[in-house]
Amino acid sequence: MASFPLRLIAPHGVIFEGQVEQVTATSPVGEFGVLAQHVDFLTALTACPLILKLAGAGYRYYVVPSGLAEVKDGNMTILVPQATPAQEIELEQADTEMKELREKLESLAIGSEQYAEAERAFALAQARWRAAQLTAPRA
Amino acid sequence: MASLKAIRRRIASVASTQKTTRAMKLVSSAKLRRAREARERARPYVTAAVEMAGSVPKALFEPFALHAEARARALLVVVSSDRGLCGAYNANLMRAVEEKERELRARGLEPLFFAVGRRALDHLRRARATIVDQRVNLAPRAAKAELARELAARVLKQYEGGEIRQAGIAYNVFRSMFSQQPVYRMLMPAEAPQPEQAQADARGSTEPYFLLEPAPPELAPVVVRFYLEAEIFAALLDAETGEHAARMMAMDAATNNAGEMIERLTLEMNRVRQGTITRELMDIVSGAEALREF
Repeated sequence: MASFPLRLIAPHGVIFEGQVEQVTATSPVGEFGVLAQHVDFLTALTACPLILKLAGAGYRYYVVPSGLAEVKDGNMTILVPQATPAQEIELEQADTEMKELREKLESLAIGSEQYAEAERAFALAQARWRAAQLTAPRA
Repeated sequence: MASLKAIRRRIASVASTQKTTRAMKLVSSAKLRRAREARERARPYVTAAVEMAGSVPKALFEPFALHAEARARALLVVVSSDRGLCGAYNANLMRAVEEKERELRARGLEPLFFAVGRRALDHLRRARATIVDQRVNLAPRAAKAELARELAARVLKQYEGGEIRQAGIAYNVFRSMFSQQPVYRMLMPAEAPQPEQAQADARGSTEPYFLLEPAPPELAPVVVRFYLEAEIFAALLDAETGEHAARMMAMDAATNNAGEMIERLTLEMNRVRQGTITRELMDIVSGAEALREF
């Protein structure tokens, strides 16, 4: 499978730089995948698991709270405030966090500033839970 | 002429000061190295954010162009250090800020200040400026991405809400170990950055993106937010690096001055001591002469 260069960058430095075959992430429009020779594009990212299919073999999973991704002349660059490797997330803990935040969200008035903040936190917790599921050892 | 005891006490005091300044120089040098490394690590992020903002269709920046109907106020973020002993680092910045304030007033804009760093806050308070918010005592690190994010969100919110007509950041840009220059960088109204020719060549095609997701009205605030965050983060990193460089140079100069002063005082001490010895010898010789005459 053809590969393309990817750079995943946060303010504290380059997190990943290398050849990948596919990148999967989520934009406000929905989940999308990027393969080699994708058209030039720019998209915002929502809180999501970021899945990198590495050239050759293997995957790498991260969780990002938001971001900006571009494909330009066959090179992909993703800017994120931070990216947590999914291996560092415990599924049980992520599950508890998500449930707590859901309860908190349900107790708040829709449209308030607190609600918007809790909604963002819940979306991130959900992304963490999804990423932890992807990397959790199969029973 | 001072007594021998007084000179010795003075030498001990200057030597103790020299020890402190030498230690401060070493601490600043270690902090400077860390700040420079952080600045280097952040460079790819800042460059990519600016390049992305420069590659979007210019129309995306239109909602962030001049708001003529907004209140005639300007938000000025001033980034100083928390502590002093860094030469003219803060004084030069404050002079530039005062000049900018006068310019804004001449254009009919009321300046509002956001102070980052104790020195800026103290100065602005003394000048009775309108301070809308502050972030002080930011040790050990002032240049954090979280602070840049918070500042960018505030600027965007106030600008979009029509509370300000302009926003900018004043800080010392780190040019070299010997030069930190105060600069003012306009944040709002935002314009799509123009990539330099060399940058554009390295980046390849200058064609706009084929696909934008989500639609431009939703994507534009995200692009501008990332762009602002990157610009502010770069400014914070520059200011921090400059502060440590300025303090290191100031402490180096202070250590050298203390050394020169110790040398001068030692010479004076030797002269006084020699004078005392000579006087005592004269007394002994004249005493002996007097005895011989008997």
